[in-house]
Amino acid sequence: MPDNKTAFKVVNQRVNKLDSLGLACGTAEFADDWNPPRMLIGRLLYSPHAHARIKKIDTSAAERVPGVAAVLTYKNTPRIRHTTAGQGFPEPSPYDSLIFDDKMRFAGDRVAAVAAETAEAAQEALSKIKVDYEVLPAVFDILDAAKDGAPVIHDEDDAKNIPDAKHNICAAYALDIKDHEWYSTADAVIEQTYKTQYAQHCALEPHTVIAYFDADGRIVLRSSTQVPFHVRRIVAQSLGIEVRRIRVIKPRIGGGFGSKQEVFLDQACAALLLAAKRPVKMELSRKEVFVSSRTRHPAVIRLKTGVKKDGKITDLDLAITLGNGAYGAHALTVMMCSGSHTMPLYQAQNNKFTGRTVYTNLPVAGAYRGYGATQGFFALESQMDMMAEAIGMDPVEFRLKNYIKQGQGSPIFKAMGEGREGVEQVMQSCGLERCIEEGLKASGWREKRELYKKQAGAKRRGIGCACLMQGSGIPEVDMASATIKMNEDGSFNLLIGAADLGTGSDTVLAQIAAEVLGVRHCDILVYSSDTDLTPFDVGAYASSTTFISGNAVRKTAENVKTMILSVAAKILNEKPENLRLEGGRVVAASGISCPLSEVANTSLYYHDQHQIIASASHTATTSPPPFSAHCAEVEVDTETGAVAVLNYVAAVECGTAINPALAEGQNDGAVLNGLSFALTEELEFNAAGAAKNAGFRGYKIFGAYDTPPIKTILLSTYEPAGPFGAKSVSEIGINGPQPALANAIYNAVGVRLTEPPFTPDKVLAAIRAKR
Amino acid sequence: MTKISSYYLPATVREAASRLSKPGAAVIAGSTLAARNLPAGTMAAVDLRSLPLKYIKADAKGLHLGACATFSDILDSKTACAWAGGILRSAAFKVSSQLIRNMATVGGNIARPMPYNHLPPVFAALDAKVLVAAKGKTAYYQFGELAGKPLADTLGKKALIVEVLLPAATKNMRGVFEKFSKAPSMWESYALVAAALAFKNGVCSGAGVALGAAVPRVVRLAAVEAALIGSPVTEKTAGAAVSAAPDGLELGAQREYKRELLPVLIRRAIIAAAREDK
Amino acid sequence: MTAVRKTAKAISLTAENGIFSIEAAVNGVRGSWRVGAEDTLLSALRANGWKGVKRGCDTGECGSCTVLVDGTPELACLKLAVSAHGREITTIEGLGSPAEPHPLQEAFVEAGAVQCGFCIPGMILVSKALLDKNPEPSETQIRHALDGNLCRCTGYVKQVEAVRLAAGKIKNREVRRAGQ
Repeated sequence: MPDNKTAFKVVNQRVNKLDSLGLACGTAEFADDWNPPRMLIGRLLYSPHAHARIKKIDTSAAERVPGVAAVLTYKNTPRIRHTTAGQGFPEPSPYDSLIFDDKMRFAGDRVAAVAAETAEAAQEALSKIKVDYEVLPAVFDILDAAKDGAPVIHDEDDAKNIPDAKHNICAAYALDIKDHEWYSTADAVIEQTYKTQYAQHCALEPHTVIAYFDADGRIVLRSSTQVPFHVRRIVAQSLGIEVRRIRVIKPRIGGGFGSKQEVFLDQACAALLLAAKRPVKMELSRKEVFVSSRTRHPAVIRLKTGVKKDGKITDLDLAITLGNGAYGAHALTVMMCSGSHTMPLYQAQNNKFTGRTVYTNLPVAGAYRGYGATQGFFALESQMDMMAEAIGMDPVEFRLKNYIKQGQGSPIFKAMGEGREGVEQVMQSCGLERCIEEGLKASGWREKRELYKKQAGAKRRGIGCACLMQGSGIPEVDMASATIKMNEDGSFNLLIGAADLGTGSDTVLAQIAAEVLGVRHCDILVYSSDTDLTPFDVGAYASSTTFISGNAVRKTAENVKTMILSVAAKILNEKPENLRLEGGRVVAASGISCPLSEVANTSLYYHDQHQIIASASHTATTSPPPFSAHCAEVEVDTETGAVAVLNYVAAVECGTAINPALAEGQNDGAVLNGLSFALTEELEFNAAGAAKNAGFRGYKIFGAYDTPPIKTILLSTYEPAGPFGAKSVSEIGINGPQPALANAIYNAVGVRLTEPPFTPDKVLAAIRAKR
Repeated sequence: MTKISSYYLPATVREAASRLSKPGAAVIAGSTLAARNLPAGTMAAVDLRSLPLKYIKADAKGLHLGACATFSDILDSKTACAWAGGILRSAAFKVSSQLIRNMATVGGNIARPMPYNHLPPVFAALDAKVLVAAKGKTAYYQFGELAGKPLADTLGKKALIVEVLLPAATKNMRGVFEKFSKAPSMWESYALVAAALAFKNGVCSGAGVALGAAVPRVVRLAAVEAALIGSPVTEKTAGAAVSAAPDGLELGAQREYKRELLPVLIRRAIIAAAREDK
Repeated sequence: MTAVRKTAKAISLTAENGIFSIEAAVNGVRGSWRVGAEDTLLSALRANGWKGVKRGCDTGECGSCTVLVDGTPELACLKLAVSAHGREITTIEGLGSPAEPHPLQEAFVEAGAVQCGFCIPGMILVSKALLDKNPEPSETQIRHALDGNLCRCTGYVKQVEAVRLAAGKIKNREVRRAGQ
């Protein structure tokens, strides 16, 4: 049984990502880089009103515009309620969406679609669609939305799985694990409300789908998606056709971060294809991506905690209200993750979680890296510092006293999963203490905490930390599979459903296969994410690919290895158990060997001919969390409110890092996203619910010159349930900056900020209020 | 987008002005704004890139910036970077994108009063003159007269900016350009401050202090300037000079915050400008 | 010594049925081009098969459409296609190919600076212009040069390293060439 002392040959090596060169040379193809002949352009018409019913819609003038091939509205598309959330079936999100509806629920909701020869013709047709609206009162505040008398956003009679439509509640969950009378043993009780903001993923490639017929009249969707198999199923469902009629192919994608874990464009594009009977491309504009794709859930969190003088957290009561916007994609699961991926980090004795997700007449929230844990950790890690201060303990020491250690479990794991009950689990790998140690060392924590105790002048420095966990896939829900076949020259085709959205999963999975098969990673030819040719995979989300797809690949490779050894045994006249795979050869204990090509040719051509090929699947029974410790050093200008980040260290452990360079890159990117989420990002709306800053000019994400020094320190542990000891890592980094910066700002100027982003005006106002 | 039927690349200012004088003609300089926003009905685009207006040169009159010189051209010019304590260099450097610095021109940056543009506060503070070919003649206008309205409104649709002249007297002023925004490379800023000071025997003998971004049109802070002149510049005198700065200004959104912020930024710019050892 | 400036010749282009005929060089190949009067340089380049030029925002705010125009990085989405007349346009495909990559392309691969890759063509072209002008840039100079090219995947950490790595490769190549 390999452990973390084993020297891996390919795994844990910084090999080049297989697709990097093609991407760097501009030869790798994204969705819009290949267009079928006679392709039409599809465009959408959006509601200007936040809440309105369509009384009348007249598309006759639009249909007569030269070059227009199809115009679609609620009148000529199937009326089958579904969820757009790219989740496993049956999806734990309300079925509240239609391809086109006669009720508009946010400014940016879809009225109609047009397919035309040119973008200009499509635009002209859209402008000629006449719509009579009955404007309805709207509600934008997430707490107001659930009150009696608020406008009911989903009053249709054919929606399913909405817990309380009358109060706009699209998800609700409560958990109460009581060990003693609440707060009876606490020496200090802290209660605080936090508010996190609307944000958008800003993947550089806008959502793009091209729909066309293959030679047999099947629908092919070339889609920039994280979830090809969910796309196939949900498009079939929403159009009322069979899954077999659809093929989904994912080309290179230009980022997703959760915004492409959603099936909202594909069915509209497929519907246009069916109506126009010609290929159709739909590519969202940047503004449409901001407003009419998906966002992060804004949240209000009320956290009440009890703590003893000796540092034990006695009571942990987290109540969260999330805003899903106009439709309920990921309503239950994001909400549950805000507790299930945060509360187990500390071993509190009483645990309570009350969550609800509400509809509002604003853009639709969905999956976004961190997935509820981001919001949850802002509250929890801010409050950890507050509790430490209340009992006069150092914030790091306080965390060390309470965090979940190797061998420990948490009642939260069993009670709360993602949309359902969870699974009991015990930490088999936890390197948080080492992350804390390395993080503190690299950031100069102790010296700086001492140094910053006495400061003068307008600019004040501070240093703060945050500790984090996440998960690795959804246990007993997520499934992945792989197929590997062998070629004459000892190369292998690896067919995987797993979706590489730039994360490098193609390479990581090739490394795992190569490790088992004793070859180089470039001897593995990866083809991924094609619903006709690759076996099933839920897709890229929940930090599942390395942990779950990786295990499927490992199992598959082991099966292929067994077949290889069986053939080689006859070639070498040895028992299979005396053979191993190494350096592209089959090697016997005695020293004799033969190249893999000889095995392949024997099996394909010479004797007992068969294709060496195997498939295997994997689901997990646990979701072992990666762990991380972040340290942020800031300088606050007390005269302007400007917060400058001087240094940011993120120490993270993900078991064995299959490819350390890729793991670091994931973490760097997640941290930077978290930093601008903490400091500058916020989607803002006017009084009518229309977005005010739906573009890169007004919605600021950091560029190279804005980026402070960021250091990712990768540490390793060994997770027995993971392939070669690996866990996943792509989400956790985004959860640190909001709380770490809030804690650093408190250390600098004694002001506790609870409503990010921490823009200069807010910081200055808080400093003034304190005086 | 407007479908043009003619695209001209004139080689001389005279030809450019002549092309512009025909109905349905519009100017494209750096192409950062105009090309994608041609007025409805535009039939001819007049692209200025072939004009001999990319020069940056100093003579007895001062520093001449050709209207087609870009921010990158400014950064590449030692003379421009050294002028007035580096105020021009700083304004060019802080433009939020290398691509925009490569494309955007001096003329384009002042032709329309966009509040976030960097050059208007600098030109206002330095009493710049703008050489314009309009109405059949080529003449210098004070930047202050032109700022705040589109050039086309003041001098007619056919007006063509030829150059901006920073007077010789500004060469050795000590100047500072500050941009305060949520992040350095965000185009929308809370405030842009250009401060240029002249000294004689340790006493401030001349001051140009201009504000952009926080207000819809660039504005000279005459009261601040007057308060500075005649005394040495210290934290105290600078603080006193700026205390009344936000009064009477149209601050628009977040005015409470800007009211607190502006005196701080302007005071700091003045102090930085006054430092001898820059 | 001041360079002698060539006086440009005036040029007039007229569209026929909304199409301009222009002469431009793309990736070293001079030729005639027919472009729509409304086309941007971005859409014209992509329509002509240069898919390495990406559309990230179409408003000049993300840098994904960066191309070199006479060697200077500019935003193709903000320029009319007709403005390419008489210019030399370089896209990422003109820099190198998988068979013969440019040192910058190699460096981005080796440094692990390519994740989704969508921003990379623009990043590399801007980096080329930087290194042409400033062969040994500091970190600040690199970041300042890249400030108009947005990336959401990498945090820019490995991209800055890649530019440094490329600077070293280019220097070594020149040292070797000089020694030959």
